[in-house]
Amino acid sequence: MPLIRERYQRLEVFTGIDFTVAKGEFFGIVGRNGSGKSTLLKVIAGIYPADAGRVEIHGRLAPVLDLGVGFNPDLPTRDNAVINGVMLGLSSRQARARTDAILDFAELHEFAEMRLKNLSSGMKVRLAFASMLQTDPDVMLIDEVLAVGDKAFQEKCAESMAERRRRGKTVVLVTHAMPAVERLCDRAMLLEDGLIEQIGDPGTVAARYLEVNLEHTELAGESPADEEAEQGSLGFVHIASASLVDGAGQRRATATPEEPLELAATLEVTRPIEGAALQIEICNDRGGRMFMPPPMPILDAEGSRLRAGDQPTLRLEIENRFLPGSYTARLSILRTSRHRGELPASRPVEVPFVVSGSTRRGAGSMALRHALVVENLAPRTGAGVG
Amino acid sequence: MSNASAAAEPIGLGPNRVDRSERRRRFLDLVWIAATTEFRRRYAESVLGYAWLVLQPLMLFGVLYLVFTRVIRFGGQIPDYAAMLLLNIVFFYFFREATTSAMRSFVARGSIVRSVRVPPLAIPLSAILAVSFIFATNLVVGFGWVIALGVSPRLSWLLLPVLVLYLVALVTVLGIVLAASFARLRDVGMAWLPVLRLLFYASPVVFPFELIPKGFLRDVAAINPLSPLFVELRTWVIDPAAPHWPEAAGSTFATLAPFVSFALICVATFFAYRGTHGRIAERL
Repeated sequence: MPLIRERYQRLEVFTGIDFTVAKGEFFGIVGRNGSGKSTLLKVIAGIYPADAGRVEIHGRLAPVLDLGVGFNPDLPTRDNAVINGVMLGLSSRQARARTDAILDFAELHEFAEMRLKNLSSGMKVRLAFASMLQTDPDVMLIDEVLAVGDKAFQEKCAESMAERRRRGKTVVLVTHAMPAVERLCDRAMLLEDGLIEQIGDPGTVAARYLEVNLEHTELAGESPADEEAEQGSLGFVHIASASLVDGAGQRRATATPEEPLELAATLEVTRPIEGAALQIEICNDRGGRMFMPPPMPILDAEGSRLRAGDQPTLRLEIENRFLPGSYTARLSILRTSRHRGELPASRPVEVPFVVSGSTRRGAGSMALRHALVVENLAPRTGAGVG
Repeated sequence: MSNASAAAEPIGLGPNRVDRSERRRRFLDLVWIAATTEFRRRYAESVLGYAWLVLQPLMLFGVLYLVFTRVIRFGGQIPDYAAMLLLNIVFFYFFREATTSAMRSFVARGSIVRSVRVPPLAIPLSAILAVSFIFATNLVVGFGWVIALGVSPRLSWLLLPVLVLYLVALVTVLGIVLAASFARLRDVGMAWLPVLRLLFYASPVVFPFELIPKGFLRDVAAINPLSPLFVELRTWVIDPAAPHWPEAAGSTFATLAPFVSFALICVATFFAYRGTHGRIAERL
């Protein structure tokens, strides 16, 4: 009789994980996909049992591993707020008592009696996030659900999380967003292959995370110039490697503020190109374009061509006016066509990098020189600015 | 950004987190909210809404009454056959719906089990509770029909909660073992449907138990833990002259057999649940 045998693969997710999160800490857990971050949260939450070891939690815990747990699309918004609240640990009475606060925070009061399925997806995540905040546990475990809704709502959420910090509540956050780790966390931990790779200062951990990512991208031979691109109009040049480098030409993932950024790229020319130029664009972690100069010609003489088989190395130095945070430099090669102007000649390559340091130096992405001059103000008496 | 001052301070409520009463409260809250959500979801989309709670059994009983008493004229020699059939159908319908719903509960609510810490028992119990709301309404409508069919209320009707509790207990242990097994092995779902069909015809739902020939067949039928339930339901509610279970069973072995089966199901449930409950989220 043909039976389908049940196949198991035994996977040891963690070994020797040992760490402590103190009361009132905002603790980040980062790592590549499959490094065990979410599984670790589930073990802490008691959803998955650990085969060995001990997890000790002091205080009431609410895991927020998925937004809108228990939501039912056929029921009204108000009822879903109650359901979600109970799922996250509130008693029925507490959940009912906090429904108005949830609806207020989510700005959904006028939709309270509407069925959930008639709400937009943005409204649903606002409702879920508002419910999450209302559970107000001592320890909150959050898996990649920190930024939802539009900008105004995100700011409201950020303020609410900051308020939790002020009240000494503990948050353990799993995320891929390094700016969030640097901005929010007191400490962070990098998981790699089920082990703690690094634990401590969030800026250092974020930088190490990017380095690990970079190493694995190279090891996996992930090249943007795949076969499909090679066969198409993008297949004139393959950007074989691109990275941020230091003065000695060594790869790195971080730069200190105001230290010039030096990017190096090696090309492999597969078809002759006339008028080849390098295009660079630097974006911040929210995708906002910070810098994009005009394309820079690779060969000076007009009409010069890159020949098939050429493997030039390009080095580009850029003034560093960026505030601490995560950025991405996007490099690509263009070619000039007499009839159609500038056309892409390679697939773009992204080079992630971090400008290290404290993010408390101001908001935004650029550190532009500035000075304040005050005029026409009568002198003050008493204590003044020294 | 590091916050050294936060590092040394212990968190305050002492090891583990929630005391027993808090855990009991959460268990009950989860069972109730999940059951009421499921119950309301069933009727949320229809225009008549909760009216279907009454309309559905009314229509079902009407059809059954016509088919069995007017069309195929089955059970003519059995006193108040139509009333007996209606009540038996109410009880068996609950048994079928509750066990099936409980069996699929972990899988159907997988997103909850994988995302929040829920006491595993809360999931199948909430599924059974949701079906119990319908059972309660069906009982009310069913008794209305029984009275309309000429059966007079009597004192023995007060014993009905005993039968309801017996059925709920049976459904609960079966629901838990099925849910734990189904989470591990989906074949259980395939197997349970024919078993239900077999149980329908092997239980005294459409015929009185004493019609089964005495001897081996009746002994086998007596192993079914539903058998004494339907026998006593008929005797206590419909026809006081009908035999009680020991008399209908006909032997000591047959009398005890369904309760031994029930006990064995309880043992199986205990071991199946104990072997699975900690790892249900992983298995889904």
